[in-house]
Amino acid sequence: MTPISCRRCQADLSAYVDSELAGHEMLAMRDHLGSCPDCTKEMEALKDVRSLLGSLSEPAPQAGLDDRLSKAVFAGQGAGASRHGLNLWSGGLVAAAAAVSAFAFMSLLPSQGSVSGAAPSAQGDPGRVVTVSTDAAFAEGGDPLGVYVSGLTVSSR
Amino acid sequence: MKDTSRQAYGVAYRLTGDPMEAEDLVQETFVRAFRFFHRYDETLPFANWLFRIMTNVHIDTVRRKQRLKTTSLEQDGPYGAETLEVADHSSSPDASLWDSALEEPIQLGLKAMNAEFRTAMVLADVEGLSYEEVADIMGTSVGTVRSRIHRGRKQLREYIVEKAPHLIPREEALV
Repeated sequence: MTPISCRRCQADLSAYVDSELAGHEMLAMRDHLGSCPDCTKEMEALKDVRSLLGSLSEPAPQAGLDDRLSKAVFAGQGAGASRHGLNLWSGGLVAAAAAVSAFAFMSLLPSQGSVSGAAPSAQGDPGRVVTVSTDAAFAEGGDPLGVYVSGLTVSSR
Repeated sequence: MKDTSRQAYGVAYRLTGDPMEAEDLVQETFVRAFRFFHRYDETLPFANWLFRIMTNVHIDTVRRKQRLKTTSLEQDGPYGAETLEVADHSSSPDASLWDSALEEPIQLGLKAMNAEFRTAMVLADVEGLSYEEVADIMGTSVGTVRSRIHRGRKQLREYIVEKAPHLIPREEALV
């Protein structure tokens, strides 16, 4: 195994402590560190920083974050959407596709409350209006990508 | 995925060091994620895709703020141009968090750092992502991520040694 210099060793120390080097590089580093107190001290210092960062607690957001996110997301919607609801003609394929995308997105978000919104159907009767309430757009325990419209009740008016 | 928004908030908080800025960052991230959801690549974990958007928003915001800085604030401190951006947490609703003797120096050290270094370190050391995942999120090479994390850790170490040596017992023993 080719010995490595202190300079080379110190440049790769973070990657070494993260096991992010190739096998032969890891071995060369281990070999060098075994006989170099300076590099070992530097390695310990970097490990300390890493464990300090890893020990930070998870900060808690202020209550109601999910509701505010939901509002912000729907407020940013373009045509066919309003701050308090999405009105779609179920005969409109484009709108339906957009709504399916919305459900897919919202199903990825954390669950908040129960779902009483509606799923649009591309082949439904053309005159029906489907309403999706923003505060009801979270699917309870939704499967991240699998659930597009299942588990949602369709309501028409 | 129940904790997506909470996880996103955690990362945003570590990036910004401020509860209000963190929430703004999460909100902007979710708005963009929804707007560009058709571009979501399902081979990428959804949280990582959100982090990619958040990273871009955060780095853009930091750069914009730096451009807007007044002349009096333009002088760089020993840890970079962001040293003088320390927020006033006395009125923060999350002030209790800042009472922590452990968290405050680390968070301030992160804040004093270049945004790219900070982002790479938060994703790797706080979120526990691999260099490859961080590279994918930041749209850069694994080599660049390796260098950012290494330099970031060294900078943070220097900051802590100077401002809060009690956090590093080994260092104290040497003094």
